[in-house]
Amino acid sequence: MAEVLEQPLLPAERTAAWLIAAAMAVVLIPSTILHHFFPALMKVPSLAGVPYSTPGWAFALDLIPLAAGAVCFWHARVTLGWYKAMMFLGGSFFFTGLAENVWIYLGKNPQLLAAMSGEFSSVPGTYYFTRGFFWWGDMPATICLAWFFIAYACVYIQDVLLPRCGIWTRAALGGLLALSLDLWLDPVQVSPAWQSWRWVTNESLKVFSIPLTNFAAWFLLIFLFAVAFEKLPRLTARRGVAGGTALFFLLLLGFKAAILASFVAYGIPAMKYVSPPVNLTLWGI
Amino acid sequence: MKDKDRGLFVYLPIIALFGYWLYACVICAFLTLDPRMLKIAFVSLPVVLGMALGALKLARSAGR
Repeated sequence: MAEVLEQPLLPAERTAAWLIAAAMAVVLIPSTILHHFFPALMKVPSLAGVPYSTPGWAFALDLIPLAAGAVCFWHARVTLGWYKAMMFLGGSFFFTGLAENVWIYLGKNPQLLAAMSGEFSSVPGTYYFTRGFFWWGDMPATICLAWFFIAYACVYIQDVLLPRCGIWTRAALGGLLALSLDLWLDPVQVSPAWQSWRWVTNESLKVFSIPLTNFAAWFLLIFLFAVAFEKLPRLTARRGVAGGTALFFLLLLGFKAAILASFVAYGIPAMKYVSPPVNLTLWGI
Repeated sequence: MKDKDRGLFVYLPIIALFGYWLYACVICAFLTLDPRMLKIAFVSLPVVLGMALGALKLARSAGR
């Protein structure tokens, strides 16, 4: 990944890159306007008691992931070229963003969870984000951007440390690095001093008061994205740029559906048999 | 890219992740004023180790 790539951009690659940029703008602009000016339409939860939740603070705190995202995108553009850099950005942005939006939507409409299984009928919700200046649906855009640079850095480190290993081993390392990051990040960010997001779920297995599925999702999202991105050159070689790009996003969609299905399959017996709920905690966290 | 021209460039993804970890985990944990948040810092040792080893390997490959 450290070599500079100076290949000219093919017309189809240019189209794909522009389509991804346009799709990001199409989801970001209306979501941001709706979130700030028509919160009732988006069922935006009350921010009462949430620190640093004014638009000024939200914008200032957004600058940190924005800077990290810009640095990683520049690195990706120089080493991978425009097309692959945009595929990494768009792929991670939509893959993780869609996953989180689905979970938040299910939390806002718990009757949908109850319709999946009677075991979920007592689930009050999932989680929601509090502060953010730019939004995609119910997700702050900088969280999507954070997913991008965390995925990029973890994939980069996995490739530096294990260059001769197969993709499954390297992707597992990338997923574990991201999981390790979130094991501290999540308890800190949901603490009363920050409340960057709020957990509403009554999931029966928790670690540091954070649902176990959250940590599983951190591992799986980075692991599966790393696998999909590795497949991209083969997909474009076989199906052309347009077909390969479409297949790449379909593959990510399939992975997303598989994660959702596996969490539902895990949740049904967990809710039924793990009672009372278990929280693996240290020092009462 | 020639090694001598690489400079900080090859470390950028690691620097970005380290910066975010420093802000979102370390500084935010201090600002909670809750000592328990600092006590659980050890759970992020693997990612810190990964960043350190990655940087070390890149530095060694540049020195060759």
